[in-house]
Amino acid sequence: MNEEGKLTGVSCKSCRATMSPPRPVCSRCLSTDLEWLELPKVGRIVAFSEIHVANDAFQSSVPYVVAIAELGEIKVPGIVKGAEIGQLRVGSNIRVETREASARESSTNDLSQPAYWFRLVS
Amino acid sequence: MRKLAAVASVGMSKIGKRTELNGRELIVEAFLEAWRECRNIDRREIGAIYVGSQSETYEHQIMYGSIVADWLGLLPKGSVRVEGCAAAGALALRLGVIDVLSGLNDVVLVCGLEKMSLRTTSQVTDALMAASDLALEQYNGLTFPSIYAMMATAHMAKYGSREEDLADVAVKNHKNAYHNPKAHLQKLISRDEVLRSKVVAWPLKLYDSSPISDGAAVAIITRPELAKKYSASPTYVIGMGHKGDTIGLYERDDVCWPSAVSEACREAYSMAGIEADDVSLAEVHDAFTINEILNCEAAGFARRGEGHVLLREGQTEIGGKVAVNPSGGLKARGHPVGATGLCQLYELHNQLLGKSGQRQVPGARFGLAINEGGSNSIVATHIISN
Repeated sequence: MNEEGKLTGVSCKSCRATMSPPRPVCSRCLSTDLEWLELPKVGRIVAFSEIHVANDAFQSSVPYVVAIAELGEIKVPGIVKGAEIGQLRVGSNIRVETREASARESSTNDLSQPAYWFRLVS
Repeated sequence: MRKLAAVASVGMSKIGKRTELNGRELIVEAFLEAWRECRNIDRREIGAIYVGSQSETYEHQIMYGSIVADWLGLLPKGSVRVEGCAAAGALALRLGVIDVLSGLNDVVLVCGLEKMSLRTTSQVTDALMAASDLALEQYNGLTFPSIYAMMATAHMAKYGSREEDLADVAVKNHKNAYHNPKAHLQKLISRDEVLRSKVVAWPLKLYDSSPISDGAAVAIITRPELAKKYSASPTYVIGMGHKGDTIGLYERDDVCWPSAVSEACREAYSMAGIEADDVSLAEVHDAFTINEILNCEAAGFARRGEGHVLLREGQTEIGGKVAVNPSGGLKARGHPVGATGLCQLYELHNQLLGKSGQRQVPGARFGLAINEGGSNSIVATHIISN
């Protein structure tokens, strides 16, 4: 997640490997010549669950649905907002939504307010 | 076959909610059992102490090795705490084997413990989340049950496994634990009870999940040529593996293939000069029921994608092709996280010596232990022989 509220990874200019979360070195070839990679805002679900028992930070949100989504070449996990478990399938399409920059700044220490999430699209 | 090290003796506390004992007292309980099984041994011969423990969150106590050395009268011998989340126990064993194999010491003590029941379920959930990726998993509220649950939904979609298969892992392991007097959950359950139990992270329910346990386990490890001096009935470590994978489940090409488990099993088989088919006894990391199915595939007991088929055929029962988790596994024996790898050794050692009573696996020559930390992120395997 960068300052403009976009989900990012990095791409290695030497060997073209892509990685997320962003890091200062290519894990495949150790090159430090990396460029930002903006992840697509749409993707598909590869795995999912619905959490009923959480830690204190997320306990007020239960139950909540989570998934790993494939966004282009990269997979990321996240909460699926506005969905019930019965609506999800492996292969379901999602789009990524991100929190407004101002909202992010005001609650940077609030662990239960993720910076991005998924929504099912038909 | 080369013997890497000998297991002179083992000890394990009763696993469960041990409200009356703290972590160090649990280690004493386990140690005294192991000590009674040894002979011709002077405590001054124990050259080093390796202690697996997952988290200081539970008791606010690190430096457990120092306490163990003091309480058991082993000072001034040195110790080290071994961390690898739930793999800590097997990693402590591994370091102990490497120590005597190197010739540095003749005898070492390896231990594992966790005292978890002081904390609420929410606190334990949080302590375990520290073994997942902070940036994307913890900040998005992913609990460990949900990470294993995602392996399950991916496996179900790809290979046709079902919630009933997951439930049947729990039913089998409770049946085994019913005959294990040290098990945390010594009771029989039915498939319906599992399916109707409270959802933790769908499709995983309460009875798909290992309990929050207190417990400790230890082993006294020596060089193979000294085994008969210290023990009337030693077993031997003849192979071991140690492999890794990404901390985040999402970073993997296939989220329902535990590649580090597969690699660590292959490494151990190769070192021992055996194959998966030679293994008729295994203790695997069923922290959640789906993972027993995945471990069976990665160990080569079933083809990739067919772990649930092996289960349906009854081949993982005691008396089947390979008895998986005859102790009851993490699921029913219990899962005191840092101790678990050594609880697995405790079962294999006793099974291979024919000391397991009503849950005895007949005729086993080799036992495989798979212990892992994170979501199959750090894996240590051992092959034990009699």
